[in-house]
Amino acid sequence: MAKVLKAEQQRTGIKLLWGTACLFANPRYMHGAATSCNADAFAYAAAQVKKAIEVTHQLGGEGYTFWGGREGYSTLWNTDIGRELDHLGAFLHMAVEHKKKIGFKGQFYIEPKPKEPTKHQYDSDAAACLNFLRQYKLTSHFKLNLETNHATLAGHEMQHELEVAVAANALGSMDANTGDPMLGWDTDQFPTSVYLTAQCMLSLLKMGGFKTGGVNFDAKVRRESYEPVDLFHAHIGGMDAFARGLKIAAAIRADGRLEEFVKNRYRSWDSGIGKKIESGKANFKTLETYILKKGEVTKNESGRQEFLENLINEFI
Amino acid sequence: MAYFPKIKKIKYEGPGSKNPLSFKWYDENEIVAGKTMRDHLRFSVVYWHTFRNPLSDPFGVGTAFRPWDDGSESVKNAQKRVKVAFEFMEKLGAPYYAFHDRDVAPEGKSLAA
Repeated sequence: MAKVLKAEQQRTGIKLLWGTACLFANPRYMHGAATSCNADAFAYAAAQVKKAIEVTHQLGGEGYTFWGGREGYSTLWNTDIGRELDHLGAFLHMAVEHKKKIGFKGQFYIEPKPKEPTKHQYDSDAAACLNFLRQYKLTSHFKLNLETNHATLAGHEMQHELEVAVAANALGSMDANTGDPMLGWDTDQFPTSVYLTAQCMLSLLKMGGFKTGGVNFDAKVRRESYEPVDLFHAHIGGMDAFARGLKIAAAIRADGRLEEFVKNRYRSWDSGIGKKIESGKANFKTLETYILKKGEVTKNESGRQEFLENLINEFI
Repeated sequence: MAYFPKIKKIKYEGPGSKNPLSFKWYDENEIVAGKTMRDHLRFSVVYWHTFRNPLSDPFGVGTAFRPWDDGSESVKNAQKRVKVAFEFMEKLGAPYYAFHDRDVAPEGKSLAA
């Protein structure tokens, strides 16, 4: 199969953004893969991921994604969370080791999702993934692949997940889709909201654009949209929505008022006591002395949420 | 052979176009903030949903009508699907794709297969 894929890649110039292994559909992974109570399932998953990374490497893939579909639990009555997390950490370290061994230079991604099919998935959201990567000393080897519908399942807006990742310098790639707020599950619809795509592209431009990742349409047409032409309509719509989002985000940045507002909002940290705190030259005692002398804090200013929402609408 | 014989390469026609099989905003060569749209966005098509999802849900079987697919897990069917996928991505103008191992290669009888 890899030969056929490679031949088509060479014929068309289309490249592999990332590969991954399906460690959730086969019944052997009913209790999870790297977090299964059955050590043999862990071993099988290791062999499967080894092969998937090798094929991704062979096809010149620019990345490899870990999405733990069943790396979580259905009930805590039968689950040892600490042991399962240790196993997942060990699994990813083995993946890093194998990557080095075969000389694969692609970026490793971890993809948050809070639930479905499990009741709770360990990679719940961007913050949980970052904490997991730090705990197991994996931060330098992984970036996040963020999916809109996974963010909303976690009770976050996509913009929240993106900003959390950008703040940690860990945004790698995007699984572009959208959910339906009236439905509580992962509907994986094609993204058409220009507000959403503008937010995505603002965060992306803020971090300087993609280095290895991309806008990956992890999205499916509706069950009623059953004809091949619907696949074209869906992708064209998603691409147009992101193109508009890009132009809007670029215009907001070129205008500069939003960025200037945020910069100005934090100006108390650019000099005086704020600067002392940020540079580590203050402690509770010096701060107590400072504020006793001053008496009360400098008057707070409006957050101007409505003003800013209107400002954004100027561009949409 | 063409698996989407009636569909030509999707082109940018601008926001005024009423052609559903054209881009209204995505012009891959247009420069935005110093880079082409193509290089900013790096669009990628996923193999699993676009070429492997029968569109089933927990209440019913798949509805997807895919004239090229014989519904089997044979290697021949999987190889034909690769041709379909690349024709689709070429006509769409997506520079990237992504896959799950099991989407492109059917599960063999053993891991070594």
